[in-house]
Amino acid sequence: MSALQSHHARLRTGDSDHSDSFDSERSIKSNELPIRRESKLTFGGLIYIGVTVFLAIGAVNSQNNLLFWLFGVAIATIIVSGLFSGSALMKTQLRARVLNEVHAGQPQRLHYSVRNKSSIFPVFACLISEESKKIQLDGKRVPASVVHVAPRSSVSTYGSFTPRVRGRYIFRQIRLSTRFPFGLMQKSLIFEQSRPLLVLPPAINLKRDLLNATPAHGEQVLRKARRGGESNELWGLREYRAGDPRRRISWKHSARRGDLVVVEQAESYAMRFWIMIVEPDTLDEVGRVHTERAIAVAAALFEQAGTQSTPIGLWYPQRSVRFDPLTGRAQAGRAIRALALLDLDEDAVSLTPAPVRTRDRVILIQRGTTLPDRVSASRIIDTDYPDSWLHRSGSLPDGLRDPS
Amino acid sequence: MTRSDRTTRTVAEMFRTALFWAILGAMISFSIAELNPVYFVGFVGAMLVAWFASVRPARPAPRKVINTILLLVITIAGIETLRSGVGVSAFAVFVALLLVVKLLDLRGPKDEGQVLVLCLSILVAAVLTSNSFLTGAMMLIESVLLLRAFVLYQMYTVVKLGRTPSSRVNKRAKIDIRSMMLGAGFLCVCIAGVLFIVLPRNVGSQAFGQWGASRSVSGFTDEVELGRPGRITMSSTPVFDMTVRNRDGMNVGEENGQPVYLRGAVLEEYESGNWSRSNVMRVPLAERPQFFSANTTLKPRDRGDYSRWDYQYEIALRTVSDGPVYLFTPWRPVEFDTMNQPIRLGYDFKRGLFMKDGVGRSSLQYAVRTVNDSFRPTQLSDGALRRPIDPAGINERVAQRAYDIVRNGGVEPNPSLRPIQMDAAAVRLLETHLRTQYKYTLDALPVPPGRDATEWFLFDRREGHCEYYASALTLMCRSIGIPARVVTGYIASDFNTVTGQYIVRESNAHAWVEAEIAPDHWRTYDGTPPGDFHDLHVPDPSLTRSIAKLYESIEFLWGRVVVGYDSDTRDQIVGSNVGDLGLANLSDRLLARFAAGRTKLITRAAIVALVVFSASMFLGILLTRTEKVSRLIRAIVGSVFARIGLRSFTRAQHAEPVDTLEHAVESALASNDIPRPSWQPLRQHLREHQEFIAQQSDLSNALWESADLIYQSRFSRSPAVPATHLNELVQTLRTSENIAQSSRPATDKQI
Repeated sequence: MSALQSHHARLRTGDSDHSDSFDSERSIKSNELPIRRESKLTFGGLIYIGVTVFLAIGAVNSQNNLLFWLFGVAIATIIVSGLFSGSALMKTQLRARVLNEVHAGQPQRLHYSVRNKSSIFPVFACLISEESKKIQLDGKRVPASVVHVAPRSSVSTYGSFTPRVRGRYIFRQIRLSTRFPFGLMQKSLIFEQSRPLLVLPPAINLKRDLLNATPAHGEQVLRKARRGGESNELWGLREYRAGDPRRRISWKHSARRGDLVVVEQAESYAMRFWIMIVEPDTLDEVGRVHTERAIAVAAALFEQAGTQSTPIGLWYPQRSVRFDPLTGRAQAGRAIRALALLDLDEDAVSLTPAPVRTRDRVILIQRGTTLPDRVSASRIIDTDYPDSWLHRSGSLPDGLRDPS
Repeated sequence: MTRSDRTTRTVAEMFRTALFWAILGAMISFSIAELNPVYFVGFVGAMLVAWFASVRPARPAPRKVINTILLLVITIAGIETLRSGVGVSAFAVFVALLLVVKLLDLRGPKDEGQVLVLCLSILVAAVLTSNSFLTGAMMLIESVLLLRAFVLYQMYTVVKLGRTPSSRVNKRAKIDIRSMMLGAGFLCVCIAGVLFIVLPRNVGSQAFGQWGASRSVSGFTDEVELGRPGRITMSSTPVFDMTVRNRDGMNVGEENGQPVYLRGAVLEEYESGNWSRSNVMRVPLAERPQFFSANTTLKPRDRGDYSRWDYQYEIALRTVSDGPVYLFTPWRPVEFDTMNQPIRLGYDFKRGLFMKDGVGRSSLQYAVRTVNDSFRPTQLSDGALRRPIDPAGINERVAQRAYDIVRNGGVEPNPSLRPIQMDAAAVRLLETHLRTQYKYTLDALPVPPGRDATEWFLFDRREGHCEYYASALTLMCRSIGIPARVVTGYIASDFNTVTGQYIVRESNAHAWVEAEIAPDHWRTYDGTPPGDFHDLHVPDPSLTRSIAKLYESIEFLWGRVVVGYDSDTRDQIVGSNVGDLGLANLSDRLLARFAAGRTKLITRAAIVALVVFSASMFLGILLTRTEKVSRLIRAIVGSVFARIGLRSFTRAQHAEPVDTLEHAVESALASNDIPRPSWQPLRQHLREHQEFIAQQSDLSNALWESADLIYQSRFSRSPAVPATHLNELVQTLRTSENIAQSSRPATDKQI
């Protein structure tokens, strides 16, 4: 299980529907009261008023007393509708839980607790939805629904938000609205509760051997690698140079030679991977899609590596992102979050080769198979050929599909 | 399923149940208002079939079926409109049919909301069609059902939008819903009741013309057309209620008393079996129609011997249509009272004719005071002469039969020889002959061509309905020189002891005769056989009849309290000081201007233009500004295009053909001995074997095109290609595969 998956699983265990968790520690304990109230006529209400006017004209025209009665009922219904829905929302409070991280294209549950502090009026048929415009544009929302909140009680519920693209989202305003009882008027309460949500690159199902089957650079690379390094294997002795750490001075040999000698150790044999992303020269719509593909592939590789003890690093020169190869889930998490926050609208900087060591293996993710200048790679993942890196059963999420 | 699950129901289940009852209530309301059992059986049956076939199993009918039925419905509605004209009834039939079709097409909350709106429309149409007690009762029941359905619809919509369709309503929620509905219902009734009482009446009546079916429910006619085939209606629809009082104000109505003849039209012209009003009657009344305020008593200028009236008949017509309407009165009226309603009236006391003019209304009350001729001896002066009669038009055989009957009765048939005092006896002889020698029937047969209808009745058919008897008696009276006329109206014989009133129905329409037995002394005679007459017009005292009478009592109260609620009653409750806020004056002024001529036309045109303009603006704004609407329209257009094969519209529909194509490509490559390794991208593989593949141009083209399509389908947002093209490619690939296999050596095949 990857770092993020385990993290999400941990969060999911906290899900509980319709339980009274209003005072839960995870709730936001401020701004429970609405910042404003709104009320508007619905389309159905407009039609209803039209029908009421028609009834009035019909009653006056025909002097039919049953129509007078129906007209009276129609007017009474409008009055009662406003009265009931307004009264029910007078003492309603709402709290929203903090949000977790989620991959683009995957739904994020948005948990809410609604409390009805009224001692008389129950609350019926409410919808709870997020108000941010960015959320409306960049994702699919399913509002939370509350069928009934009895007087002096509270109810927990949840909706969901499925972000379309990665990035940071801020959920600020929540709208609790009801059209109860007759659907003629919509009364809303707007709550201000700020909750950030980090949307990670979309999760894609990569072939499992992309990291393991990456070929090394051959014997020449190996020999070159037999230079001073950080491993525990002794490579040789040499004269002390300014800046050498004192702990590397071999005092025994220094005493024998009468001069300071330091121990030089061989480079580590452990295999290290660099994920290098090179984005196209022009970031038009197609270019953006391919860059997003590269980001998603890189994130998925980090997910894979997080489960193994393979040191893996990230080099995205055009966006000045560098994570030196390390093992562990924390490293994967940091890299993926960095990828999630990349802003492709910012100007790209010039391309530079990966800061590799002799035995490092570079997995280059880019569009096309032509190596850029001064860049060498053990493997190229071409974003033009998703079937070369996608698992056979997998397909690309909508956001990564070719726009043409 | 836990015990809790069994006791609680989902919101969707509760709403569906409420919807079912609301629809059923709407259909029954409409059928009752129309008083048409065919509608009841047809619509309720269709609704039940649609519900249990489509709604309950959540299996909407295919679009093609729905469109076909919709076309059928529009056709039926068109025929109904042509048959009965553009009116509420045709509209209601259309809406009811539409509702049944909609039930076959319930696919989401929007559809269910539309069904509720259709139910509301049907209820309004039912109320416009009839204001009987049953309709009113159904209106109240349906209002509650609709209220409940609308409330649950809001919860259902929320649950659907929140994608939690299995949300259950627990016991506490149920209690809260019931309490809320009771509270809302109570408030609604209170507010509606206050509005009902306070709203001013008689303001703006008929400003927009006649709505709905004609308000007149009278079954009588002022023209008799003998020989028209068919069957006389026996509709029990009440026409009016009548109370009879004596001079002391006592109710003198009797359950098994003498029937009261209530005159409507007087017909004097006979030609080829048709009776119509005379020219004198056609330019009708002694007094031109004029407006009389409430509580006005009208009396003839010359009352003669009839200065003291005997009975007062208080008549309440249930509904009155526009234009001239006969007001039914017994013979001989000597005073007419407008009671508590102003009325535009034309009258002729001498002929006993009263006609209301002007706009229709839901009820009209008036009182007529009469003298009873039969209580007074006929004073004849010595020189009294009969009015001369023109015998032209009377069939000779009819005249001969009259002569024979009178002569056989011992009375001189020749008017010049017969004393005028014997005229009453002569008429009685003719009446008795008809009553005893002929049979009554409601079935009317067509008269043979070239035959006089009355002569055919007397000599061949020998059975008929009241119009034949009245016609025969009148003609026979005239043939022996006695002035006589046909009178059409109603018989009042159904007395309700609870309400103390006679109730007169359409089936009580009748025709009889008035003969002038002395100068200006007209007596009522009726040739219809009394046994049959009794069967038809005097109800039997069975249990069913008793129940019916109880219902009529309720209907009477309903009519009095609700349907008959008017400005006077309003003034009594609210007080005349409240007034109508000047609306009556305003309305009268506006109506007067409308009636003035061109202004009416211009105003109506302006109203129509305003409505059309507002609707267009509204739609325009909706279309241009509402993204949702434009998306919806695009989706509908796309769907239509896709259906007629102009464009594909969903990727999902072609997912399967693409898989098939991919499989065909793999098979084709394998059969050509160049199987693709699973790790190698398709395009890369084709590029590597470019030279080999290029040898077969068809295969090469198909493979490259297939690769493009597979990539496009899996990795691109552009719409998928039509399935037909994919199928063509698959066929090409399979053909090449077959060719490759057949060209292999036999040993290879065996292997």
